[in-house]
Amino acid sequence: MLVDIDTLNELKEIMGDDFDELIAIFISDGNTQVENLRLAVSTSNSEDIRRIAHTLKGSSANLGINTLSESCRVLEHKAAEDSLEDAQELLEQIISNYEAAKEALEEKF
Amino acid sequence: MKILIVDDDRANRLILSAYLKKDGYTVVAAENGLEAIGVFQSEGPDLILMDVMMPVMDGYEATRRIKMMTVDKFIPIIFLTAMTDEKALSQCVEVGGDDFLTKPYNRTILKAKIDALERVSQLYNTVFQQKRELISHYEHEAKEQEVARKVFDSILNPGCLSSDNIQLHLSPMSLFNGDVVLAAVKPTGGLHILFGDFTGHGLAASLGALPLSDVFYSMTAKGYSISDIVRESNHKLKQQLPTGMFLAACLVEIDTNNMVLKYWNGAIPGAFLHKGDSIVDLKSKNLPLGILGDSVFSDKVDIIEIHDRDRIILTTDGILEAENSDGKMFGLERFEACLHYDLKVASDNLTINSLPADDSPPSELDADLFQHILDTLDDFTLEQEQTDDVTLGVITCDINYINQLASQKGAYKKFVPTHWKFDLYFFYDSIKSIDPVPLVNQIMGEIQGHQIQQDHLSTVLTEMFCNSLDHGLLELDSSLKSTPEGFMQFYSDKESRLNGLESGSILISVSNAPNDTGGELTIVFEDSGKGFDVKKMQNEMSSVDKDTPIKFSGRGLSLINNYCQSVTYNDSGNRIECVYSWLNNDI
Repeated sequence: MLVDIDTLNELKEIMGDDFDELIAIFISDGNTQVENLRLAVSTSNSEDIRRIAHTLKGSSANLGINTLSESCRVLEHKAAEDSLEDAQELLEQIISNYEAAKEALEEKF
Repeated sequence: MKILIVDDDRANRLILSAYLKKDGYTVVAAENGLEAIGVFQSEGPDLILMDVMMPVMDGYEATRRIKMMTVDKFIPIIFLTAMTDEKALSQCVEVGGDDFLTKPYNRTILKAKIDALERVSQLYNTVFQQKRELISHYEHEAKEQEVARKVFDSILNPGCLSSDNIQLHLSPMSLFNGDVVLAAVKPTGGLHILFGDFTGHGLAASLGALPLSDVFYSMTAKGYSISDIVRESNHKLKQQLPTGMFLAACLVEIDTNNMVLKYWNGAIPGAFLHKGDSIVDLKSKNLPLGILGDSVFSDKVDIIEIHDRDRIILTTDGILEAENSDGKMFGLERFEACLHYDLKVASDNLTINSLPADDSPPSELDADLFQHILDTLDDFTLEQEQTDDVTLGVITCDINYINQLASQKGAYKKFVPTHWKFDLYFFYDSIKSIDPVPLVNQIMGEIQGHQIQQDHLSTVLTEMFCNSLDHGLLELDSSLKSTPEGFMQFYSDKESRLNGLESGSILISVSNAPNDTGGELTIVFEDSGKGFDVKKMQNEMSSVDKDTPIKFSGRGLSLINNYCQSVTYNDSGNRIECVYSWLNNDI
């Protein structure tokens, strides 16, 4: 599943008016993080790749965006081991997951 | 409760903040470790949620620094982590983290962890608070003790402990010393010294020194002998110390007029007289003070001849029982061996020669006896911890110096018999509450020295007072006293009549006329009562056969007759005058 609707509904219930801000922040920060990640991969900077993937992994997990979180986890792991052979491929996957999640969030919330 | 969230991710902060606010917490936030330290200082949160990987300063470093800033307060830090790597988790603990919360956050678990840490935090902070109170109490206590000790020292040392002929080493285990050393110059010249060791040590042990020093200094100043002082000290300590607490003590008098040493030793093991070429053990023959009642207590002193520059060495069991690292005690033998250090060996005295004396002659000794004993003790115990109060005193019988002490102090004052007279009136109400006899005795003592306070004189005063009160004011029938039943009746009547007394007075007049051996006291008691037929009574008295047993009622008067040179009544029988001669021992 692309996004966990239950998690998002719970967040919405708890956060009330702040929920819209949360979604907005996630999307705008997500754009920045994806751009930074793209740059890091293109320059093969393992440290930056690991750090950005780690952050994105955590925030997407908190919003119940599990597919994105999972693909970030794999990239973070690879970067930590400094094995960047699949980095480009994983980046594409993350971008596609992020775009899909963004669509789902904008559509449903 | 205020919680600080430290996370570089805005979305995470927003979610956590929402969760915490929902549960009623106040929330503050920081974006990285360095900012967290600033917010921590300005906001003073009760708990911190800390992300690990952050720009500028990571969570490990921020946690380490914050924990260093909060040594006396417990601020729980929960690490927010997506990490599952064991090494990273153990690092969280190493820097001082108290728990973990993994992403994605679960609201229920977060609340449970905060609650648990809040309980721990309360417990810690209670302990810290109690610790702070304890420290503050301790400091307060220490200050009070310091003040108390200064007061204590000034009470204990009005004497002449700092005199040049007294070498003293006092090493109490705590601020207060259970060992007590008192020294005072006698008014007639010479020195009184008291060396004591109360049961136990510390404040409780030292408290008994207050009544003791009072007795010692006041009685010495009034010219009492060490027999009198030791008896009164025993009486007072028995009365005032709790059961099981007593005072081992040695009282010494250096009598420079007669060149003798008088001593009374009750359980002080180390008391010696060093006569230069021989050593005398001033052995204990008594129980410590504060144990025996007055009737069985012995105040008998021993007397030894002394010479100029003889030394008295006194020590409490703290030195004798000092232990070395092997648990061996210093002991009396080692102590006695020390005393042979500067003993002058007479050529014909082979027994002393065989003792372990230092071979070098006294002139080449590099330390005096006092220092030698302390050095030997130090060499023996080395770094071993002291287990009792340690006290050593060496008093040199420097006759000129001691005599000079007395004159310097202005204490060398012999009581010379002089002319004086005092009249005291006691009215009916004061008679009910005051016994005039000790008062009269005390006044005479102040004027003429204690030697006038003789037992027989007290008896005379008591009988004269009873006569004036019983027969003069209370009009009691003394013939009642001839039977045992009547005797009881007499005293019961006396009590009720005294209580009911509403008028009358007794005049007591005492005058002294000095003579060659002391003085002649004229004592008058005059009451406001009706008196009695003096002539009739005198006839009755003379008709009593001397062989018949003395009647209860006649006892007082015959005692007065025995002790006084003359006893006369006025015609109306309300005034009795006795003449009493007293001897001045100072002459």
